[in-house]
Amino acid sequence: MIQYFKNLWRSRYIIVSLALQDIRNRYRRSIFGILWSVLMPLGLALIIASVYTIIWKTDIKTFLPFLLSGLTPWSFISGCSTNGAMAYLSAEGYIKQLPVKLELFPVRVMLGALIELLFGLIAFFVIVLLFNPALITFNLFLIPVALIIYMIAGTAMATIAATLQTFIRDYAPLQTLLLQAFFYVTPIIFTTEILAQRGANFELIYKFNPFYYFLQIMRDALLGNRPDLVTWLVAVGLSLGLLFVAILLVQKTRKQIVFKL
Amino acid sequence: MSKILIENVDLEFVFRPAGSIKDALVGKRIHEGEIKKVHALKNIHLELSDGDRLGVIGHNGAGKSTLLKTIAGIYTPTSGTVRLEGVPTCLFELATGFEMEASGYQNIKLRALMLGLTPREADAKTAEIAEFSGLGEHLKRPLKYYSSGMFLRLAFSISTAISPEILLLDEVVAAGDAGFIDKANQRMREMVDQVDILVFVSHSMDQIKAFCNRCIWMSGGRIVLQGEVDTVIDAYQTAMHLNPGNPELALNLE
Repeated sequence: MIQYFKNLWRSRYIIVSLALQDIRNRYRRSIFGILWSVLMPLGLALIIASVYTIIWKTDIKTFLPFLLSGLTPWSFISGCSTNGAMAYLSAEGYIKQLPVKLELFPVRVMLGALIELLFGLIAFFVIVLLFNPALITFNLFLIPVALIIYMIAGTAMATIAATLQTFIRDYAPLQTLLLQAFFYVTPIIFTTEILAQRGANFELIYKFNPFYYFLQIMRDALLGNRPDLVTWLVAVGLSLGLLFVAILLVQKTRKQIVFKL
Repeated sequence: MSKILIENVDLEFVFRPAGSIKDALVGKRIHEGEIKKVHALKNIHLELSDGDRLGVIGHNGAGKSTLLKTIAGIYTPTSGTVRLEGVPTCLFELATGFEMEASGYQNIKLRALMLGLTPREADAKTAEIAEFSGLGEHLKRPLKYYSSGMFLRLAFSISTAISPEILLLDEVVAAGDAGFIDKANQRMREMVDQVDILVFVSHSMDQIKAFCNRCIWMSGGRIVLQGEVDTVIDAYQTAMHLNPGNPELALNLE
């Protein structure tokens, strides 16, 4: 267990260097450059919100911040899983000839997604300042706490996806489908109230959905809800549980991975 | 003081028939017969200490590179032990392990970090590596725009910049223009002279004779002969001559 954290600590310079490169490369030679990381979530939210406002006459002032507060964390989660699946396979050149520690590559993926998430938060605050400044409350102090939980869960998800994909090459498309399904089942583009109105059975849809808890803690921080202790505890528990599984996987498969690349 | 101690090492690669989710869903069992095993290293014993320069010769697929990767700790043996005192550096697969989108400078820094240097040491080393590669302004461009010659120059300069205690060398062919080949050969010689232990895999008997003071001949994952360089090479070449398809057979006939 401790070995895992020791290895990561020893690899810290490599991880930072790789993550910075990923960011630099992503928008190299595009005119807006890094600004795209803010513009993309803004644009996507505007599109969905316009559709909702026109068709269902939703109030854009409350709906747009709500939407962004869910979309941004969701793209972090799906980014960690999707890109995480390739974390080991794309590092073949390093793993096969250099004394690098395996566990650093999923962290590289997580950091890339985290930086996108931070830019997404900037997009959120742009929208809030324009449409609904009342949302800015003391809850914002919860953002760093939520981010730490995200980093733990994101690293774990990327590690698990990387291991599964290395052993079973069918995993990535399956995961994409699953994530897509969860995107529609999780209250991201609709509220929990909508489900509650349909009856108690429908509430189970989100209450048993692990992703709900991860999204909800960020929403508490961003939208000034009264933070619900149970939700936060579930999120912390889930992320630590995932990390435990991830570390076990790393320990069990460390020696075999190189033969499977 | 460096040391390599290899005892009873066996390495088996297991190839399962591509396990797909479809098979798992329909409950298809993988039969014993479908699992292919390649016994890449069989009962290897080796003891090397300071001053040893070991040449490894043998046919393709004899297990030479696998042995090197096992010594390096990249492959974990199926059974037996590999013990190393001293820091190993591997020189094989020169052209892999780079970020194609990143510049030459960024790749130098990254590789230095991966070899265990701190950022400060890496920065200090960067200038030296850049100088040796002779790539000048090109180092600011992403690697994907390099010609294959430029690429190999960079790869060689990076890989040889840190002087190790144990050098594991797999048939490195320096590329580039004539001037660089000379420079590269000279650096190789310096490196080989400086390290405590050298393990050198090559098909060039001349190179083995130039660099090594011990030699092993591998075939089918086994060490079939070991001893003085000239003795082993002579035996190998005689066997090759007698039976080019299967030199091991020729050896047994003797």
